[in-house]
Amino acid sequence: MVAIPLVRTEGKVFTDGEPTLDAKKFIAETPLQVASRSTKARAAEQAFRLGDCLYFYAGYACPRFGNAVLVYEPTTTSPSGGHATPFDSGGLYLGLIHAQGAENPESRQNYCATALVHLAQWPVEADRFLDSYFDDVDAYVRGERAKSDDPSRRLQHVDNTREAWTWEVRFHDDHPMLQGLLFAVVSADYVAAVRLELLKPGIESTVRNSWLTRLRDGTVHATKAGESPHDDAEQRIIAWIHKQTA
Amino acid sequence: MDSQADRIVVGFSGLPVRGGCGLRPPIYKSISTGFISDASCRPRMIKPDDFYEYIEQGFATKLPTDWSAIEKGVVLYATHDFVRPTDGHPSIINIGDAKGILHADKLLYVNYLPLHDSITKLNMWATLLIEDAEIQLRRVTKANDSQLTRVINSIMRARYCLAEVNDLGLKRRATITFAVARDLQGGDTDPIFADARLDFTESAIVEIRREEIQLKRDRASPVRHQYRDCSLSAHPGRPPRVIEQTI
Repeated sequence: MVAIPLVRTEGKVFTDGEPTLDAKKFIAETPLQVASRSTKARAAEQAFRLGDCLYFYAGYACPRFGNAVLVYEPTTTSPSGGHATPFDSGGLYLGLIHAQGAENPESRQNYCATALVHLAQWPVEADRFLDSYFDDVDAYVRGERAKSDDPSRRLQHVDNTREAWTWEVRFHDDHPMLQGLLFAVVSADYVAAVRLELLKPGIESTVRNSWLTRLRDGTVHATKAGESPHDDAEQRIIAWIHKQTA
Repeated sequence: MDSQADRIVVGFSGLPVRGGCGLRPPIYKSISTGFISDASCRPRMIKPDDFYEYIEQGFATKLPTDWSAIEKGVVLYATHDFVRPTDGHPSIINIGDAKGILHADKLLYVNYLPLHDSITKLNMWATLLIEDAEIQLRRVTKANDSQLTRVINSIMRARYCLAEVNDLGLKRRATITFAVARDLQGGDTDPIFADARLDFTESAIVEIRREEIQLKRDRASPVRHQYRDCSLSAHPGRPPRVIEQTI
């Protein structure tokens, strides 16, 4: 079975004007927070009765939510459980994802409910999904279009983008930042800021040493000059999957 | 897919790091498709309407003017705190060569250059900052000296430049100067050497620590200290550097 890592991109600016995960919060291991979501996501949760959610994409480092890319074990879970769908629920709610049976707000509600998969089941369902619709997992992680269409014609709809076939995984709890973390990819200036934070007086040596170890062993990885952490992260995800399946 | 000539640069990926500088992939607006894309090694399309939402939310930073795309171009930024540090510290950036200046925002200096030129510029900034730190360190006479704050500030800024520049010589000088300055402040230097292990081998760290101790001894011995100063300033191949520039 092919298991796809969960990806969370952080650093987006919400109402307080500060990024969700600056260097200081990063070394403080600030949990990923359910509260860090847009009003559109909240509206979708209400319409589709999803509850309050912490969002991940399976294998997709989406730049929309920031420049710190955190990649988690596919088996990462949440105490209160959660759900998954083979599309972006917010995109469906906003009418940005086109499919037969999802033409209006009422039908979208039904479409989402039918596609809902429990958190424990999502890796199995995602494996079937990949097997049915994609040449290989690399194509999925690269965001390429499916090789064949699904019954609702969502996967090959000409106006749909990768959010229409990317698995969205939702937890109902805040998530400890390091729990299940495979690796993080950030820009070099972000790493410089992290290293300076670690040098500040008052930082405990155990905290400092554990982060220096993560920087040394590649758990926290800096991109090359001028490159995107999102592309870098997706290439590493593909390499990680290949290593697991070799 | 559109060609390079069809693109203009309208922004860069993500938010600047406060107090720092760095290189980021540009965000292009494509003339032929009307789309905006974050084009590093693999283009990602962004719907035009979304771009402004992204700026608001911190995914993208909008540039003050649009620039024509160049091959392997990257955006070099430096924030206000990096360009104009407080306490009378020197500026090492010639704002005159910026392509854009955003006074109202946190971002002050932005430039769009080929990757190689950007790295050369960062190397130059790092060199100037480290030289400034070394000069100020020689002038420090007591632990609470404001020059000591300036030394540390310059080194911290240099470290942002060195994050993108693979120059072990500069990193070595920055580490030694930082450690001596922190020692003069009565602080612990072990964290600095623990951090240096990310850049250097164990044997190199031993050498660096030896140089740090030697520098501290030189400072403790006024005659030798003076001699070192004279030897540096009298060196024919190394004239005093003018660091301050008019902005």
